[in-house]
Formats: sequence, structure tokens, C-alpha cells
Amino acid sequence: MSGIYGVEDLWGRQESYQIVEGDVLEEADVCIIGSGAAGSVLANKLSLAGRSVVLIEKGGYFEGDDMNQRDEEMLPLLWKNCGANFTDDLRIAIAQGSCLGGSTVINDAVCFSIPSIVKREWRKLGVGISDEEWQAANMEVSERLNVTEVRDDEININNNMLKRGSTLTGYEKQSPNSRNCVSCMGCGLCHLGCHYETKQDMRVTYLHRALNDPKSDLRIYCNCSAEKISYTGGVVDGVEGDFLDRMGSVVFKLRVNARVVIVAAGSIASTWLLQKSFIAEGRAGKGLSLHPAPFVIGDFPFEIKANQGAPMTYTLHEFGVTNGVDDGGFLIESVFLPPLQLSMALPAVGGLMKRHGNYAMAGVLVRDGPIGEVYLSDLGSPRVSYRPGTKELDAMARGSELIARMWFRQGATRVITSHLSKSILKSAEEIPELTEAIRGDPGRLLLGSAHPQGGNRMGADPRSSVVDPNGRVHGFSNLFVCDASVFPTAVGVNPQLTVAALATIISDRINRRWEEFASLRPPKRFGEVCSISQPMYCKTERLKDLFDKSKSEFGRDVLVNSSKMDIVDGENWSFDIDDLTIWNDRYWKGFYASDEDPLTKGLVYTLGFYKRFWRSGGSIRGETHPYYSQIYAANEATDFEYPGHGDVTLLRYFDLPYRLFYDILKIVDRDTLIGEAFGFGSPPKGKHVFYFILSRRYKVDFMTQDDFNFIFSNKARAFDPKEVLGVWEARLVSDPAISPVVFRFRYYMEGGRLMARYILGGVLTIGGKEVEFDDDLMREFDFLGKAKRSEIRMVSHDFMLGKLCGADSPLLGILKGSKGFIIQDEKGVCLPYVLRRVG
Amino acid sequence: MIYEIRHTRQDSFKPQNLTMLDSNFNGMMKDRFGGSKRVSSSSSESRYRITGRIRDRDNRTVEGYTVQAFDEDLGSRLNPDDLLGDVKTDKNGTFEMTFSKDAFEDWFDLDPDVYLVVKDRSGRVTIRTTGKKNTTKLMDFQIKLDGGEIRPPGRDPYKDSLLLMIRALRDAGDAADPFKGDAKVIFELLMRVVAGWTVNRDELVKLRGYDSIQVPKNPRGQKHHHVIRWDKPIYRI
Repeated sequence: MSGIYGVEDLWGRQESYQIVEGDVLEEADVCIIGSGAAGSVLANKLSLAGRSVVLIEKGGYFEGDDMNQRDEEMLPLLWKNCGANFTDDLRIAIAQGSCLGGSTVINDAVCFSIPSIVKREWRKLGVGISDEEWQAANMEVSERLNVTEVRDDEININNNMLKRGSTLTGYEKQSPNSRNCVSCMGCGLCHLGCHYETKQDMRVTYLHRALNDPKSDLRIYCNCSAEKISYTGGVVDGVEGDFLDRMGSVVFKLRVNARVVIVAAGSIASTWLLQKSFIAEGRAGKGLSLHPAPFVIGDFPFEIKANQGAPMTYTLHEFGVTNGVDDGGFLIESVFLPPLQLSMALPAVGGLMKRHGNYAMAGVLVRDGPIGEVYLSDLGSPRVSYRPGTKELDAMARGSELIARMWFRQGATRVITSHLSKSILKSAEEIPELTEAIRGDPGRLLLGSAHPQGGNRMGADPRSSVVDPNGRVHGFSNLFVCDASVFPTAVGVNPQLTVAALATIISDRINRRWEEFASLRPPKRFGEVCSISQPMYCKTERLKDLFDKSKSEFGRDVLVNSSKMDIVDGENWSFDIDDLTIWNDRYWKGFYASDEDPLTKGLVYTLGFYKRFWRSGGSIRGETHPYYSQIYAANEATDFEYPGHGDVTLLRYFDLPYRLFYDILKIVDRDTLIGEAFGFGSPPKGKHVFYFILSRRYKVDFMTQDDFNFIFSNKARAFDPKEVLGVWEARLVSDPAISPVVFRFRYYMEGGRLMARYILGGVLTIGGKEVEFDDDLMREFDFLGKAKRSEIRMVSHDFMLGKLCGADSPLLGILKGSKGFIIQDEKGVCLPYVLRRVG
Repeated sequence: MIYEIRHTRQDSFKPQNLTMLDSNFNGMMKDRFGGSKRVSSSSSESRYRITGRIRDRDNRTVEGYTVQAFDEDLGSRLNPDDLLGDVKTDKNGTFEMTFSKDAFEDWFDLDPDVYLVVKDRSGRVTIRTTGKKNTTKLMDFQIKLDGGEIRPPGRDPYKDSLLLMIRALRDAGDAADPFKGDAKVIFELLMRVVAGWTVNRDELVKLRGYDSIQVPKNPRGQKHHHVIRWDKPIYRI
């Protein structure tokens, strides 16, 4: 049962691996998003305690044998956005893993337990974890990850330069690091994944163990990006995700129905997912810390060969939180980078890479305040805004100065820094110029960060924090966030051990209170996943499969529709506002397979149809009506035993030319059936023409114009400007289908007024016009030239309906008289559209 | 030409072949003509040191394995490679041996061309590392046994890495706010990307023989040992 699933074609794996070949509908006790230091621990501990767990990971599943020690090939496989992951001003490069195991696969394996000062500080800020709990969790994690202090012979010359430099400059609070590495081979390429699997990352430890325990039920979906957490009120019912191919296109859909959802995707992605799901609005994303780190390289007249051996084995603690500095402070850690990364760290001109073997490198890990923010771009992707303050810049300047002094003291001929205005120092006399530049011109200081933390702060007060002391999101009964994003302030040391310890504590607490969650019965939803319950999401191949395998569960009597064609709410039509689903018994709406090819798409828009059935004496009669025609093809439904398919319902037509065709229907539930159309032969000798679906229940993404009008008039409301802030996507409504996205725009407030701005192609944003209000209708500015009025009404917080009316607009004039995306009523010609909030 | 000869020799080097060689040596230092060799003496200037550590496929260190160091010559069966030393691993899996110039020096060799042969406790050869010219006097070998078996390759996971990198630059563009970036910073970053991909990468990795990469380009598809060999610089301070 346990195993890893993904869309990549992988062979010879250590764990059981299966290729995903279609949409997946999952059900589990717990759904965890992210497989890093937190997600893996949670998955291990919850699955070993008997919960069924689904773990979603955006990155791929790679093992030591895939890690070929080459930057240009490993960065795309293991690093988030190939390493090109920046803050919005491009000054800070944020290193994060995006693969099974998360950042633990690409980090330097450095382990520090949470400093006492931080524990105390966090408790004051509302983190309800005692010293004993931290200690027990740290011990448990350290044992699982085989954390040991590095041996003397594992400290290479680069790290020894820091050690000796610290002593020479008179600072004794220094020590070798502990690492989670068993018999390290010392290849020095930790950043590119450990080929030898000596690094005890999450995949080789926690996940491996959970996957191979016969009692555990852990299914891991790789190459799958969680896109939405769905919920009603304060109860989460599951997660929706997209399986992505290598180029980032969606290939399949995932829906997980779960009793408990835990977001553990790292500071930036967790916040992004909460924001995209409109959870903790106004609070999620605030208070991000990055541990911004400038580096200083010394160029020596003798060989250092910093690439030989473990890169990060020694730390100077003198000015850090580990040495009692309770506000800010910094650590100095040795570090070295694989060639492409080093080349990105060095100034572009000057041929500095030639001296690669003679460099000693160290970085300043600054314990910064919670001063950053994660927000959504117009396209709905995450952006990080971060400006180091005076305190942070001061720590960077002091740290850089100290390293520069160490290097010159030990004979460096020059020092290379990360400040663009002062990138080379020729002697110790130039050091003040560097510190001045860092303090005075921080805009040109390039920084690295490997430890994004905060954003979904933990705390007791729901007004200022996102999650409560148990990691549960305020206002939700079964949604947790558990990763570095809940840290209220920066931890001040490399955080992987603290993240894993936190996950240990939270998972123990969830396990202890499982009864409480087991009693929750969140509704089961299907998302946009192809399944027998909603075959309209299936592609032809899968539809054929479903058709062949399913049995007709009901006889022809189920087909009969309401006798009324007008919508009577509650009688022949209803609308589930939570799931945005329409039930429509006026007729059976027809659907084709969801393939993207032009032929199928063409069929959908031009030959969209419905079928309607009624009782006529002892028989069931019906008609088939393509929306854009005067055709009402009369037919009769009879129960029939069809060779190869058993009992089905047969639909025969009376008139020519439809008489040349017949359909067989398999009624899979009371509101859904799959049909196959045959032609050129009487049953059962006809030739296959196409598959179709008939349904009385469909999502608003398939609404007809009648549905639109009824919901617009009866189920939608006026709204407050504050409710609509964010990015919205508009699609046009026709009877057979809704169009692809035609435009995006962002509502924002400026000087107390609601403004809207169009987003063109996701790149350009234009406009910026004020939006006015008039009674319960919102008038939006016209985008089609002549001033026309658009009315928008809100259905739910992320779904609105809009109507653009008026006959004298040039575009509507052209469309007038045509069928499709136009409604013609007493007001004239209207263009109906739906708006989905995406950010 | 020389490369050709060495290549064939490596291919024909079989364990049984080695056992035969080994019985010749029988753990004792002999030169290729069968005479005893001086192993130590000489000044410390010309002494070479080999250190290392051996672990099994589960990364547990192994004790009591025999490590032999040879100097690779243009030899044959009648003219076998010089044995530079042999030693057993201790309980931490580590080993250390020293030898001097006399152990390998002859008319052709000015520097040793060292390779290691590792045997398990029953004497079976488990690994023979490849030789390397121009070593430093301090060599470190980190060895993991039973590595690199060939498995069915599946889809080449590396083949679209360049495309992925280009896509990443596009995404980095979306994550950036064009009004916030400093033009000089952006220009410098772009220059670094270009420099990194062109001059720096080729200069370091291809032309200057970057010594960190120790596995084949497609580790799954090519038989290889898990051996890391460092020719370590002397720590001079």
C-alpha cells in the first residue's frame, strides 16, 4: 500500500514507485503538503501511529544514484526554481530544495538544536512548548538523523582557516559543527544532493523507514503541486493539486479528501498556499525572516582546496544567539559552493574563478528580525519582499569586517566581498570602506539565504498570529501549519533540526488527540478529478475505460426529468454554494471528453447539447437538442442487453437522419451516465462514433446561461469593496461550456477607494481606474471602448458573476445576433462572465 | 599513445589476475625484479602519505579490510606495478600508510601514479581505483563499497536541464518586482549567469580539471566505484 507515485518515468528505485497515468482521487486520515524536514517527520510519525497519510511533494523523487555532482544538472532536479529563487528586488537568493526530502537533500547537513534564548523568547510570544518537550524532540530527531559532531580529520583547510582565524582574532567561542551524516565521504557537494547517501536527509531516514514499515499506510505523490485547500466554515475537507510535467504544465489532477490537513511546504510555499486558499487573510505572509548572509572570500597565495571535504564544519559563535546574544547577533560559518554557484557569487568580470583552489570562504549568518513579507504577484505566484533594517545591516557589516580581518591576518592577498560597490579589498586598510558600503548602500549588497522562516507566526492571539500553540490555524478545527513558517522570530542557527523537532512535537500532539479528529466527518469532494462520479473531467481514453468497466446501475426510469423547463429552485434545480455545484433536473446536460485537441474542443463549443426525457404511457420518450440549433431529435429509451456490455439503456431515434444513429447509456448513478454513440447499423451492429456524458449535477465551471441568470438574480449579492481585493480571472459563459480565461485583473485599495487594474498576459498590468458603486450593483469601468456598464455580483468569497450589457458597444454590436457567449434580454445584448478569485 | 596502452591494461585487469600478482608479493615489499625494496628511510621531504576510510553500502565503516597501494607502471605480468604499501583498516574503517620516493622511483617515474586495491577480510578484491598522475604528497581516499551498480536507465533525468534553467529564469522574472530592482544589480546578475555558463564553467570544470566531480555523468547507466580521491594541498599555516 505504501509507496511513492509520480509522473516521471523512473526505474530501479529503492522504494516502491509507480507512475501516475491519470487523475487521482485519494482518501486519507491526514494529508501533508511538503516533504521537507517537517513534512517527512509528520508523515513518518503519523503513519507509524496508524493514520493513513497522503504526502504531496512538488519536486521529483531522486536518489543518490541520480545525483551526478554536476551543478547544471542537479540544480534543475533538486533546487526550487533551479536556484534562481530571489526576493522581489533580486538582491537575496533564497536556497530551497524542491524534491522528495525538500531542503534536507541539498543542505550542508549542519545541525544545531534550538538555542535556549530562542526557546524562552518564543514562549513569551505564545509558543506553548516546554524545555523538556524541546529536549526530548531534539534527542529523538538527532538519533534518527544520526547527528554527530564532525571529527577533526573531517575539518578541511577552509574550515580550519576559520578556526585559526577566530583564535588569531581572539575569539574563543568557536566549535566544530554537528552534522547528520554517517561516515561522510567528503565529496564537498552537499548542495547537489549526496551521491553516496551518507547524508541523512529525510528521504533516507524518516521517509524510508515509514515506507518500509509493513504497518504504515503512506502514499507519497511527487511532481504534484498542492494548489488549494478546500474548506467550509472552519472545517477543512481536503486538498487539490496538479501533477506537473518537467516543463511545469499540468498533466493530471489530484484531490485528497482528508480529516486533517497539515501544510509543511516551507515558509514561502506554505504562506503562498494559505494566501491562495484565502486562509488567515491579512496575517499569512507577515513576519518573514531570512537569515540573510553576506559572504567574504579570501584569496591566498597557497592552495586551500575548499572544495575538498565537507563544506560547513566549523562555526564562530562569539556574536551569536548561541553565545547569549539575545537581540539579533550573527554566527560566522565556513561555507563553500559548487562551481556554478560559486561563479554566481563572484563578480562576473575579472576571471576570479581561476583562483578557485586558493579561496577560503565564510559567511555571516545574521539573526534578523521578522521584517520580510510574502505576497502574491498578479499571476498568483509568491513574491518575497525583504529590506534589511539597521540592526541587520550592522550585524552584516561587523561580521564581514571580522572575516575580512581573519583572512588578511592569515596572509590573504585580497578579499572578495558580496557588495557590488566594494567587491575587492586589497588590504586590511580598505575594510572600513566595505563596512561603510554595507551600512550606507545596502541596495548593492548581494545576499544569500538558506533559511526562510516565519510568515505564519505561532501565537495565542488570533489577531496577530496565524496558528495557535499547537500549530493549528486559528479558526480551523483540522488545519495545521507545521514548518519553519510558524517560527515567531528567527531561530538564529541552521534550522533543520528545530524544524524536525517542532514536527515531532506537533505530530505527537495530533496523535494524542486523534479521537477528536477521527470524529470529524468533512464532506467528500471530487475537485476537478476525473472519476466515475464526474466523468466530464475525463479524457477520451479514460472515459472509454470507465465506460467499458462500469455497469448500468439503474433502468431507464431514472432518466425521467422534471416536467417543467423553467427553473424552480428546490424542485427541479438547486445550487450548493459551498461546493459551487448545480443540480439541474430540467434536462440532462451533455458533455464530451475533456481532451484538449481542437476537434474535441470544437465539438464542445459547436455541438454542445442536452437530452430531456419524459414518460409517455408505458414508454420513456426523449429528445436531444444541440443548443445552437433548431434540432429536437425525438427518441425512445428502452432497456436492452447489449453484447459485451450487459444490461444498458438503448436510445433509438425516430426520424431521419438521426435514425442512422443510436446511443447506449450506462447509468452509473442517479444523476450521471456515460453514453456511447453508434451509427451506420442497427443495434448491436453500429460503428462507434464517440463517447459522451449526461449529468444532472455539474460544477459552476459548466454552468449554462440559464443557470447563470438564475444565480445572478437569486443567489448572488452585493458586496463590500474589501471583500474583493485580490486577483480575479474572468471567463465567458455559453450554454455548452465556459471559455478559457479571457482576462485577469486585480482589485486594490488606494486612498480608501477601490481600484481595478488589468493584467495583460500575466506580465503587464495596466489601467488603475477607480471603481464606483451604485446601490447593490457594482459598475466597473468599460474595457470595450464605449462606456458600458458591467454589473458584478458576488456568489462566494472566491466566485462572482458579471454581466456587461449595452447594444451600442462596437464589440457587442458585432456579436449581436450571433449565438454563444451572448445573452439577449430586455436590456439588450449582454456578455455574461464568471470571475474566479485566484490570488 | 600512452593513454591507449593504459586503457587496455585497465580493462584487462581482472581480480584473479590480481590474486596471482598478490601471491607474488605476499605482503612483502619487492621490486619488480624480485629483489627486496627499501620502503622507508629517506628524508621526510620525499615521503608520501595515503589516508582514507572505507565503509560498506550502508555507510557503516568496515574493519580489517586490506588496502594496498600500487604505483602504476607501463608494466606487464613479468613487470608488475610497484607495491607502495599495504595496511588493514582499523575499527573506524580508516587507514593510513606512508612511503618514500624509493618505493616507486625508476627511470620513467618521477611521481607515483597511485592506485589502491581493497580486499575484504577473505581476501577478495572489492575495488581497484584508477590511477592518477601528478599527485600531491598527501592523498586521501574515501571509499564506499558495493556502489554504482548499473540499473535500467529509464528516462534520462538530465536531458532537459538547460530548458529547465531557462524556464527558471522566466519564473525568477515573475517573482521580481520590476520597480524594486536596482538596474546595476540586475545587470550584474545577468552577467554572472552568462559568465557562469560560459567562461567560468568551462574554465573550471573542463579546462582546469575541477576535482570535485567523481562520478560518471550518468551514474545509473555506467558502472563505477564509490571512490573519492583527494590530492590534498599541504596546510601551510
